[in-house]
Amino acid sequence: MTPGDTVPDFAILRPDGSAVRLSEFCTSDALLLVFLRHLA
Amino acid sequence: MAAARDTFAARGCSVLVVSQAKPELVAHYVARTRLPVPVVSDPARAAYAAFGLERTNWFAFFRPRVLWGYFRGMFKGYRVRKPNRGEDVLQLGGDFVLSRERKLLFAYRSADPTDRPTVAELLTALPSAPPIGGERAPDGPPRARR
Repeated sequence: MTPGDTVPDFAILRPDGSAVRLSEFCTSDALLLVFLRHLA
Repeated sequence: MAAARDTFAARGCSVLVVSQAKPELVAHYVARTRLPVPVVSDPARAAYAAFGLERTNWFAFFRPRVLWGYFRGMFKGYRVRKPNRGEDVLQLGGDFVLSRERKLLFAYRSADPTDRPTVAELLTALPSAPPIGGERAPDGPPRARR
């Protein structure tokens, strides 16, 4: 995936375990996605 | 973290944190740290793979740059903890900026465990956001001082 590509609307999980689509967070002009290595 | 979130919000950018931990661990983490941004879980690491985030190897932790990164983090109060069960400690992270239409605007894939972009680098990736305060637009003239 390179700049200019459209990111798939993949499913992720909320802390309560319910599924949510990435697009539900795309409500601002931009979205910063931060992928953590781990929670420690 | 809240200050950084506000800086991004002022430029029309929201923040979403993605973890490879299971949702129940994320819930515990959110309650403990009170992160001011939403955190979601991707335990299958499908999104990690889709964004091209790779696994590193154990030797990477002994590179001078990485050791120095951990040392600096600990100096700032970061505590090295044992990873949660089910988390892959070799998984690398990354930072991406998407438009409202989910078009990828900026991609930064960590090259090693301590490699992350700076806030300033991320801010420059935001689309057509006006400069804040006395800042100068990246391609514009210096702002006049009052």
